[in-house]
Amino acid sequence: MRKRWLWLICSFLAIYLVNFLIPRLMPGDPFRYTSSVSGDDLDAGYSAEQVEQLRAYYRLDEPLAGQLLDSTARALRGDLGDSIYYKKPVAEVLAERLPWSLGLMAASLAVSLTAGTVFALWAARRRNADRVLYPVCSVLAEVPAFLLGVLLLFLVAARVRWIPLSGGVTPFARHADFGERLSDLLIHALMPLCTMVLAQLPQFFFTARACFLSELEKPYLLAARAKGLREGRIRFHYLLKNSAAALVARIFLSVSTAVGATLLVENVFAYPGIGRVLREAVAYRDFPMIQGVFLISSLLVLVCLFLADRINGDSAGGEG
Amino acid sequence: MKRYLAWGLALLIAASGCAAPASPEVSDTSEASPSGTQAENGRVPVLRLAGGTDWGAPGVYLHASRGPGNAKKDLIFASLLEADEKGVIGWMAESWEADGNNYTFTLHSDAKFHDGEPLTAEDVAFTIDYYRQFPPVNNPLGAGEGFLISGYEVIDPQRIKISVNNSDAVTLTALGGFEILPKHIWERVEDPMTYSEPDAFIGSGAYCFSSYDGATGSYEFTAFDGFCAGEPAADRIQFVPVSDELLAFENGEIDIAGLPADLFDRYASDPAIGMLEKANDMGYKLLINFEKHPEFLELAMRGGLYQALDRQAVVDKVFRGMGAVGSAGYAPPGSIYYNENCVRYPYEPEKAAALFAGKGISVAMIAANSGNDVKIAELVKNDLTAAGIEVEVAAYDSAVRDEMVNAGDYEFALVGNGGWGGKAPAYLRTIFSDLSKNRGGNPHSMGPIGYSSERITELAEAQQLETDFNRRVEIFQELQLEISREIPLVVIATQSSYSIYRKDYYDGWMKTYDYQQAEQNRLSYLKRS
Repeated sequence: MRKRWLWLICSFLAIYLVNFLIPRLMPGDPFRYTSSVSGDDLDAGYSAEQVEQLRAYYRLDEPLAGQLLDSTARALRGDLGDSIYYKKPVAEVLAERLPWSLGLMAASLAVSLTAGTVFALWAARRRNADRVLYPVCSVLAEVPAFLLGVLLLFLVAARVRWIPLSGGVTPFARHADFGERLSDLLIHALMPLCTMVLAQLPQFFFTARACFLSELEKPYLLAARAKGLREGRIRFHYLLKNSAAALVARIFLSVSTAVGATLLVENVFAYPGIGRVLREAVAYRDFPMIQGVFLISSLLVLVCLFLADRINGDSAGGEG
Repeated sequence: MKRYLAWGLALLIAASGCAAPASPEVSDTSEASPSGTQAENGRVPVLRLAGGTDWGAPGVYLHASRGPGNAKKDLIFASLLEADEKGVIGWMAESWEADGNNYTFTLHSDAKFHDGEPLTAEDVAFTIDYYRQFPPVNNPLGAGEGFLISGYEVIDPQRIKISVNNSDAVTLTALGGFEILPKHIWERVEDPMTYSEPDAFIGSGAYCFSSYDGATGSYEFTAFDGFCAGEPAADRIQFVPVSDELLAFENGEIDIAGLPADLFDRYASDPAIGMLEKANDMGYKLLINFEKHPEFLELAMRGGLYQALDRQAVVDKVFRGMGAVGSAGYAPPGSIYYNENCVRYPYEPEKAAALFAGKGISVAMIAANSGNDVKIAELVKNDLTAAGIEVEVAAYDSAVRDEMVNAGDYEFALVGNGGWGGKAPAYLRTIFSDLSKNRGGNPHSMGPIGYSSERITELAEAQQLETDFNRRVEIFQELQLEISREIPLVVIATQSSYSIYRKDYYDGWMKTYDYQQAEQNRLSYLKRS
């Protein structure tokens, strides 16, 4: 157990260091990046004097070691620095966006898990269903989330008037009550959520299917059937229960792919969240913002992997 | 069980949206009808534009340093002068006089800020001092020792005389271009970079700040009835998130949208649809690092590059016909400064092949990996390869490409950027003058390395000092002719773009004499006679 904690802490420190160094070692400059396409032209680049002033303000004129110490000391106080592009505290930008991304990820994982498990139960029992579900999920698993999003946008959302094309909530709407706001949020989340579910469902289906097929071959199920237990009880009580650890571990293992998919899907549907922030932060070389987004997302993934590892370990220990 | 799951899902999503903080400054946001009817005051109830991107809060120190961020700030704040279709016009200043290095501005007597406080010469003087200490994001006055203004004198509450050390062609627009801050608010602000209280958004522009939500990229502005320099054309302006502009336009979610080239004909034939052209505003050029390839210091070799390149193919294949082959004089066709007598270099692949045959030239060309850059780079590579020049293309993230070009770390560089059309091509100085080029990070400052020309430098610097408009145009045209003869770089092509809008709902979109982005122009949101 101690070893696992040590690994977690070492991994975190390594990630923190890499998160700090990579943006600063990347070519490109937050104050000298001026390329543009028509429409978002830079009106006027900063003068050399202004760049000097800005570097000093954001403490980017200090040596890397000094910046690292300063950044670490501030991070320990909960201060992730100020975004150069958004011109506000990184923590404030993350606090505005994270709930949207986490909500979408959590909801999509929950729906994917449920749907994937139900489909796997069905496939495990009916060979005909398996013949359809297995290849469909195999194909879905290979389609990138952003492509699924674009397809849903143009083939579904653009044709169905009541489905919003973009955003997370109707802009500037004044909702009469919580129910109205809830339904507005749900309807805006529909397409991004469907995209995420389609992208994540296959991995839950395959995990659950493999677990169920493996369990079905075990002798205790033969004994259960011989005792005359009903099929429903066998499926829900034995199959599901004995596969639960693997499925829960799958959830945590899926968080890393869910983070990646969320970043892309948010961009397709103009859905608020950290995906758009990351894109802009990287494009404009907003060092503190890149650092903040990667820190939060890598922390999330690390903790989830740690939990998955524990669940798998406990499960294996239990079996042993 | 399923019911619980459904409720669980609903709560998860609801928690995300409900927890997401709304704008701290959200005020009255009652829903307007997007119908085509105008209110009794002659304004449209609401103008909706594509948003969804966070361009920062619309304050002078808080907005992103790009056109869309600056344009939102411009709705709230006002400067001394503006520009319309013909030239410079008064804005907070009703008149002005230039006398050598001194400029006297007379403010509107009824100029006031959104909180009702009068806007006086004291506010202008305070703003100058404040910007000297804390340069804003969009900063025409410069910073540090390069600060433009040498002094000022408040003559009376309505008049201020501003002095500069050396007046030139752009001094008046620079002095007239800074946004005036209310002294009674900012005199107590010690760190403007972090100041985002509600009064940081009080200006004297035609619209008041109403709401901003960075997470959703939504902005709302409401008409300021006390605006002294005109009459707002809409009760409200909203920037709303969209996934695809054209889909949103078709769906009635926004009132103006960018038009993809392939759909031009479909909308051009619709009488209900108005079109705005941004003519040749995006341009691509090929920079040569002469220090790494001195063989191109020979003029015939540079001419050979033009002969080798099928630049019309770039217009046809990449821009889908919306653009023009680049003028060898750099300033694009359609600009009032354009010289149509510049040397033209037709596509003559046989001559180019004969010129480069046996020379064994091999170049590495860098390009950005976004926009049309890679497509154009491939066409350039194919043409140059056919002419006998071996080309290896390396595509980089735009920021990396910029840094490499600024550092001179390239042999050939394909550079594309906006802002070519419309504006006075003062960029000819920062690209071509040996005294002014490569001094900043802007693509309009990226000049040829290892090449110099006394005549081009002389003309490029002279236009900056010329305050007579017609004479300046003449110098620009002479300069373009010289550039087209000398070929310090290869101009590939310029691209035009279009926006569409519904004429029956709002027809007030306009371009100024020197700026083509109608959606980013505050005069587009005012009633025009």
